[in-house]
Amino acid sequence: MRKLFGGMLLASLVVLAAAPAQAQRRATGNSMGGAEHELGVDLGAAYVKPNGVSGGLVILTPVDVRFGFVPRSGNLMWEPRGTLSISTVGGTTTYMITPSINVLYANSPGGHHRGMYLTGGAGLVLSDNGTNSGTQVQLGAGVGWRKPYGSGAWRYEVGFQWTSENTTLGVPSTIAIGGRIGISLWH
Amino acid sequence: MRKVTGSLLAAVALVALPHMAVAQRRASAGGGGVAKNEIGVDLGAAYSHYGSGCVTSCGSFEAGTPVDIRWGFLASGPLSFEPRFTLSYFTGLGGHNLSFTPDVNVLYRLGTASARRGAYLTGGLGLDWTNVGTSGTPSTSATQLSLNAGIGKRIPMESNAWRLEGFFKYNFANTSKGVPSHFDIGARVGMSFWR
Repeated sequence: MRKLFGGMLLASLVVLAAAPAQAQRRATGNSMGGAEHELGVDLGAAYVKPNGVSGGLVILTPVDVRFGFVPRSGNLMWEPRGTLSISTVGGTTTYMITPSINVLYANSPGGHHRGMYLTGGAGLVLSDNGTNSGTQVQLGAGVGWRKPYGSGAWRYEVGFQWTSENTTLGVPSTIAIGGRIGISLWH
Repeated sequence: MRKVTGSLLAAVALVALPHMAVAQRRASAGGGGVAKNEIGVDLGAAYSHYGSGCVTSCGSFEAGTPVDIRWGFLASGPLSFEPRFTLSYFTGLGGHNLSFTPDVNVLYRLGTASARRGAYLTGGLGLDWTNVGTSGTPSTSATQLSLNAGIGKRIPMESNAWRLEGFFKYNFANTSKGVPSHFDIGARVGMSFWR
């Protein structure tokens, strides 16, 4: 339970970290299209290699929910991402919560609407398998592109992700190399 | 073989229906705005109850996000089609696990509701197709057919909308594969974007 609360506290920090980006957007006067948020869903594919175990392929959609805070100026953009899964069967509850936050750096003329960007992020994997609970840390980095599609954009990203081990859960550290393809829409 | 053929027919129907919706939209002269698609993600929660001979712990509760990807095709009339799906494939350790859940729903706007606001009724047909294989043994597949119905509402929020939906879903048993029937009662809350 203490681990869960600790994880939730960290998750709150992840969410709060996005607030300065919104404040920055509100404080600035010049416009870059007027959109405030970028919401997207993706299909992801990756080669996943747990430590000490042979690796495998993972294909998944939707990967997560990503909700970016678009700044009116500047090259940096904050993008929280997350998934949530809770199940209760026969009095046993299991869950997995994966809050994370990424920073996107776009130096192209298209800003945060088109062109290339670099990204890096950190997140948590809070899980309970019904017997034990624990938290893992995730770190990731990648490079991506946005290609306009109507009023939205296709978004391609390739990258690398490391997830720490958790001995309580009996989960080894894992590396993943892969990509995600999805659509972004703004409002 | 008959079941495989039936599943394939259902899958073809799931793929074909959205194209009919696109054709309907193109043919219509009236406008519902310039948007073509409604795309959204939701947080969902549901109570499930298992039948088909279940005698203990037959109920469960599940919640999660993202529920699926929903990609609606806007139409000028009151009816519109909305495919929804999830896909997951894991391979490693000599085995694999594949799950694909295509679904297509019809949305019917109620009263003065538009494609961007107001209440709607929905009903749909879906499949839950799984294929599992382990090292040294042949893989096994199972398909479960489902029907769903619900009522929802879109609440405008700037250029987007919140979307709330309550639903009932019945999943038919596949006795030859040992998949029990079950029903879900739940709700999904999410955000819709248009393009």
